[in-house]
Amino acid sequence: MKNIVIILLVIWCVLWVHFIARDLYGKGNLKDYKILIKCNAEEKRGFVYGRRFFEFLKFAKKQMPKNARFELVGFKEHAIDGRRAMYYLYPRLRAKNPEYILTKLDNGEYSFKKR
Amino acid sequence: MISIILLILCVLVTTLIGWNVLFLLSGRKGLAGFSFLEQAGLSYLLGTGVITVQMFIMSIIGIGYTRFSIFIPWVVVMMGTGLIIWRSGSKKPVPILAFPPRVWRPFELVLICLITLQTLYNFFRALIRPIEAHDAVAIYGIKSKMIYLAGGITGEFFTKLASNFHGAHPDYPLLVPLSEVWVYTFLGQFNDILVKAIFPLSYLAFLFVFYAVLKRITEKPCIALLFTFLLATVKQFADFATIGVADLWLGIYFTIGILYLYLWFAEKKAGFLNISLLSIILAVWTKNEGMLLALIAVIIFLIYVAANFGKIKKQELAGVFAYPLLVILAIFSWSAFKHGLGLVNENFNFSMVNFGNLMSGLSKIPAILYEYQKQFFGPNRWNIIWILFFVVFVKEFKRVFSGDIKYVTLIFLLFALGYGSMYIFSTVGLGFFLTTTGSRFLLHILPVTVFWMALILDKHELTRI
Repeated sequence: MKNIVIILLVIWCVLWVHFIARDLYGKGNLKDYKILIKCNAEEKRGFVYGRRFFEFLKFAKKQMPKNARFELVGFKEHAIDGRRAMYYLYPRLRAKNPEYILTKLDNGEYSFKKR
Repeated sequence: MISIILLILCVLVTTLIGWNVLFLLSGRKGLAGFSFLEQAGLSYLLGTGVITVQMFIMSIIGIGYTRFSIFIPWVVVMMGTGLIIWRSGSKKPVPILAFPPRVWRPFELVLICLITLQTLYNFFRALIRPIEAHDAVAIYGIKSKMIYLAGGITGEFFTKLASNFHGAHPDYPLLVPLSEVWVYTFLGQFNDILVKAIFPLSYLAFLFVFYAVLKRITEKPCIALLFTFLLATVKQFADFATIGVADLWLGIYFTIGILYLYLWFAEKKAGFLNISLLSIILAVWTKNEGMLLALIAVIIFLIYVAANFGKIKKQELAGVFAYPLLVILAIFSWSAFKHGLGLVNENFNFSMVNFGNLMSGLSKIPAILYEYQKQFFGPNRWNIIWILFFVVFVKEFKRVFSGDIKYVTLIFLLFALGYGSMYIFSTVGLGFFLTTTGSRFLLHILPVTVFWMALILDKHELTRI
């Protein structure tokens, strides 16, 4: 029994270390952490959201009053970018009859329009 | 820096409130027998839970959130606790800081180091990024931001969620969003980076409880540490302690409910039953699936009581009747509240439970089994924990159905039946439903699984390692 437990523990630990190493090196998280650790809160948000997208959101937030209604165009329904936009821009609301249109263009750029 | 100090204070206040609740739950015998780690872990987890319930009630009666307005009712509770301790006239101090001297063996020290490493890594991963994962943003983060900015749950909160945030599940219980709001309120600012500390903190608090309960049962720190290490290092379990969603907390509250129910089976201390009851109610308050898990807890409780009625003393009967009634009351209260607001879950609701869906749903069983076998036998998320589970189940078949362990075993059957039924009756596309929920649902039962394995393997000579 003792030997079986030791063998299983070794397998467990090998897999455990492998998964952590895969996250850090294989998936590139270590590189991200090296950058993130030097960032302030805004820079962190910019890094995880994507710099260009976050700059666009910051711009949109500045342009819209807190009670503004907006619509997202070109964002896939339920996709993470749209969710982050709605979260970041709140209390500005994504709603019908929007006053502002935030568009994700086919070329990866963004546009902001007041109706 | 001030924010970090306030966060630490927030954790301490939460733990203090939770400790008072724990003391009141612990019954006549008080907290004697509860180790420091167990008290600390339970206090933080129960404290978080009861504060969120309090915040919900405050919103219903129209009281806004401030540090003061949330904390002040607990001062009364603390005075009550102090009075009880004072009137009990006990010369022994309440055993908060009872650290029995112990020389740790090298193997145990290695396990402690590895658990510590994993925990630190979780804290690092949680705090290096703001709330950004899909559900953490779309379901929990948005609710906490809305509630915090409004100073409470306003009348338009649920309607706004339903109409402007499709997929935000306004019908979900509010433990996680309100625990985030509690941190924002305490910090005095919206800070969706620091708030993520509560997730690895709940992971750590739970590991304390898990270890303490295993140590109580096995009386072998080595076994308790070994299985705590196994649980702590399951990738899915560790990952979900960093991203800001409710599944880990649901698994935690459900497991605490089961752990203390198991202790009550053995010792019949009212305190154990009370802790189990509150934890199961908090599971209901964490996520919709908590209702199903709570029903599972009630079913195994009732089966135990029916099979062991002779062992239950007259003075224990009140607790025996109260347990299922209060759990059902919690389920009913939240369901009635949702019903009153017209909130319905789009993935699964009781209107889907009908003969037609059953008949069409039976054809989904092969796909469900296929998805779950991928989870069980693919080590990417679970290491080899499910393989070990099946090996233990087959190899220790007799023991699996012996003594009080059989009630824990029964949980797996009820879990498979309950969660399987959700897939069968749901009218949502199975592929979508399975891929978004398969691995999360297993997280709800994972700690109970590791506990069960520890109970079964305890009889072997593992301590000689």
